[in-house]
Amino acid sequence: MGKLYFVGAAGSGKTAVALGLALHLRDRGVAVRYFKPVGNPPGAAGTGGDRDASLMQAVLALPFSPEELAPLTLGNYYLSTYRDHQACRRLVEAAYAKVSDGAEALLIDGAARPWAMAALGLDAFSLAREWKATLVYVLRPVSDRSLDEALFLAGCAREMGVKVAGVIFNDVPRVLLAKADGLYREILADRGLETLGVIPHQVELSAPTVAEFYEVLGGEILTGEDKLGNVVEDVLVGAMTLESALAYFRRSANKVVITGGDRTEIALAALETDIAALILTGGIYPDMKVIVRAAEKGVPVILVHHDTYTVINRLAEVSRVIRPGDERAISLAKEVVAAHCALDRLVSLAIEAHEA
Amino acid sequence: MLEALFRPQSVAVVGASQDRSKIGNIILRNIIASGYRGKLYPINPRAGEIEGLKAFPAVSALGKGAVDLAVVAVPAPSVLEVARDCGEAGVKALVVISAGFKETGKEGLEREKELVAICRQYGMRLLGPNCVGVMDTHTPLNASFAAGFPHRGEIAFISQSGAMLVAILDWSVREGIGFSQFVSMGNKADLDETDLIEAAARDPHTKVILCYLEDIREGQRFLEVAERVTREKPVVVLKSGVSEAGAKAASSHTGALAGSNIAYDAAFRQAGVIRVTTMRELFDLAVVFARQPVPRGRRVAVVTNAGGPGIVTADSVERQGLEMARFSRETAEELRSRLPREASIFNPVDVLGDARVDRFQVAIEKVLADENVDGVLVLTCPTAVSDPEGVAKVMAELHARFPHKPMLGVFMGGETMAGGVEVLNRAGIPCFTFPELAVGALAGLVRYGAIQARPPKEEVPAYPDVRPGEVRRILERARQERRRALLSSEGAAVASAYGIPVAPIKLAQRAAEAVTIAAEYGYPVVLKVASPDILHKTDIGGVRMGLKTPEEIRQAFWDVMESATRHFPRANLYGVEVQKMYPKGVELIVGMTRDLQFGPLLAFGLGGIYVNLLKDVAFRLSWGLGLREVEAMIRETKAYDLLRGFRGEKPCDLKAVVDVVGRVARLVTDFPEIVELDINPVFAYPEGAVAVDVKITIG
Repeated sequence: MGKLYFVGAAGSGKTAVALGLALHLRDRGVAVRYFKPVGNPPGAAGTGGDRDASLMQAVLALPFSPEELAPLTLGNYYLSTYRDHQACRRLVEAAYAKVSDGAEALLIDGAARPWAMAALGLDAFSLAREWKATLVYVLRPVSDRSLDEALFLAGCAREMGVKVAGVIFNDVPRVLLAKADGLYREILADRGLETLGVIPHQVELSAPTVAEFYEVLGGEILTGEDKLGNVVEDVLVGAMTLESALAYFRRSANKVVITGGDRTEIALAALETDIAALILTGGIYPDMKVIVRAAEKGVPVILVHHDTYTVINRLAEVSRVIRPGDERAISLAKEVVAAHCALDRLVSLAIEAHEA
Repeated sequence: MLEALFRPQSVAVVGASQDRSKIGNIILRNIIASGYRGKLYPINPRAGEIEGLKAFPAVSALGKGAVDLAVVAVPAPSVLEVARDCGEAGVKALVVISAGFKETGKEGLEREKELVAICRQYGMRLLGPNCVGVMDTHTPLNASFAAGFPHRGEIAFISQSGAMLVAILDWSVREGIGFSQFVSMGNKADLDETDLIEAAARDPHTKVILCYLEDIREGQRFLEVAERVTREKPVVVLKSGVSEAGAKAASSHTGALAGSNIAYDAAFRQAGVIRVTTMRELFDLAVVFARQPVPRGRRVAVVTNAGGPGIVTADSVERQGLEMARFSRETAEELRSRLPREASIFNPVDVLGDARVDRFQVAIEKVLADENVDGVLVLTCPTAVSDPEGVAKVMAELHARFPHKPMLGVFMGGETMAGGVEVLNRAGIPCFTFPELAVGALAGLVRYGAIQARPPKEEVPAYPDVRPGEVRRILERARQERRRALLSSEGAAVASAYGIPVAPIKLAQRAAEAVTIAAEYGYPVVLKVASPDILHKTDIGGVRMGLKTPEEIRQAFWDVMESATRHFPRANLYGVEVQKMYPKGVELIVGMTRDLQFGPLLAFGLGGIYVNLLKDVAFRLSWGLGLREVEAMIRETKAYDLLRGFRGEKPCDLKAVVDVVGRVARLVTDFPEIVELDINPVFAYPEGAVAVDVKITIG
């Protein structure tokens, strides 16, 4: 059995890559399993366990519960909520043993940060060393500085005795595509790291939907409950004068507009443009006309009790989650891995055990 | 048109009640009290007789075709059923008084949609819902729940606010102002201002059309209809929601985003609609239009018995765009020989404080007879010997003798003037207490004269050389990449495809490409960061000018990229665009924003970085825009003075500039998906013009 451990920052697309690869492994007749030792807690409006685990369980039809696939939850006060740290470790190991039993390939998904739960010795590198998993770093580059992150962490992992296969560049912006495939690849090769893929930015895969905003922010959906699947490509704040609002809103498509519940005219201007959802802040119930217009145009309106500043701060937590029923995103994840990654190499890494 | 609404043969009041406090009962009594001569049926499932009329359980119980107009005042949830019944019974028009529709929320919205669908299905026209009703004083018919009925007259008043309508009605009765039609539009679910203006235009009893509007539902149709109507009858509009606060109130009132005030101004102007900003003006103009002729020109004679008010009036005449008339020699001599030596015989004619009626008589008659005078204002102040009633009678006689020249009175004072004011009112001569309002009303008449006499609608130039296929390809590619803002190089290509001369510009994704492009164009060149997310490139160091060597270009390429990512870490960067440097000409801006109501609104003015400071911009809608109007637009700006050659500079190629504006108008008309466009700057030269930076946003 081979084990691949996908590590990378939150929102880098580890799960999407793992999903795509898992589907190819399955197609090739490999008994593939998924495991995520440290899962995420639900958002403000959310319930249940880790969503990545739920997705993989459903898509791969794994005979385990999502709680078995993601046994721990990384809360802000996890050191207090998991009082018995030894029990914690036993929980992970038991789940790992159960899920990996009989698997030909195990894809392990990292937490939001590779160092998560280092206090309990359950960080990604420690676990990878223990389970003899091969590390693949998933990196979403935004500038040359992003490469430093991958190089540095890969170096640390090796110091700790982990086998590091290489880097997958994911969600690469247009301007860095040529560079990732050229200069970055060369620098990685010099350090003995493989470039295992360069996946260009794909809106359908990376842009969150209105549902993800709602899960993070909570609040009340005033209309458009059936349109929470709208893809969000941009976030604009409606704090300008009415005169400039329309031109400003027109410049971006599929956006969420955040504005005060009392800014009727700004909200109406936004509704005249291509908009995915309207988020009204301050807990101020809007003018009826706003809801009526939104209903006419089929745009979700979410009323939240936070002020605009707080909402914007919390948006950092919003990232695209692929949901079990989202066939389009699931098949796209598979296509993208085939088209832009070294698939055969990844497959062999996934099925070959190593003794690092 | 809309006969069934204004002149029905038969009317049913659905929801009529025996209870005199109920709206349904009030409407029924209003119809009876207005002296309606057609058949009238109260509809109520229970009552046998209401206000002495036999009631019927449903409109359909009267048989097919028995009812032309149904006025509906039942609770909102029952309205749909009533509308279906009316449809089955062949009713031609519905007035839905009931509230509880779009103005109340999602449920109401659904109900309103269905109401409209039912009306369409049966071919019924619908006024309202959520309205006060409709009145026609000539039919006569008062199918409303307003208190009172206006005097018969020649003014049609169409109002988006029911409250405004009832308040005006009450006021007009005391003022003695008469109306032909009074219409409350409510939610405008079907009939809107355009339909009602058209109906009033065809109404033989209507001379003037007044509107109180908060928004316009279908801009293009409004323009088409108003442009036609204003050649026959004046249309005066008070459009509220001009200020930021007003717009906010209007948007929460009607649920529509108020289009930009500038667009409304341009629309009204291009359609010949007179826009007023106060309710006072609205009704001053209404009265003047209804009662006085349109003058041939703008030359005003003022006859007064007081020097001070005469001067104030003269000032006001100039300020409001009119002229003080210069009398002919004959007039001056006659006035000299027949007025006292101390009297001023030049305009304003001061007949002096001790003047009795005879001096007014002479002065008014002589100036009316002068062919250099287009209209007359008569001012009277209370003096020991003044006789306002006598002056008023003289004015009435002379107005009858010179009916083609407008005459207005300014009777400054209170009680002593009442008798004179009364005489003028009866004679149809509008009278004001202060001169500015009288001058304003006269100016309105003059303006309408110009509107009526305007040349026929212009031809829109054809530009057979445009290449829409190229534009379509560029827009499609941008859309595929999910972009709303075009890159500068794409904007330039779009403009170029429509025959607008542009400074060549190309996208380079690597520094080496930039060097190749520069070699092709020849040095020096400009480098601009290419990103749909960065609007003001200069502000963030995203532009480098005057680059003369490959090394400078390579350095600038990465400088620009660093700068851009520092300011916009998440911007989508495409690389850098290389443009050929052009010598500076007169810097102009040509812009377009697509107005929600009226479509493309073009702007022309002084360009460069001072655009926002100087605000030297003129606006026109692209609707019906011909070259004459484009030139008029350019002439409105200070930029025009620069183009003509300021302080000995060579004049620029005006024709080339007009061509750029005309072609932009054509481009944005052909491509409704272009929602914003800015060419800033356009350089104008003694020969030709060139677009240097073209920004386009697609919807």
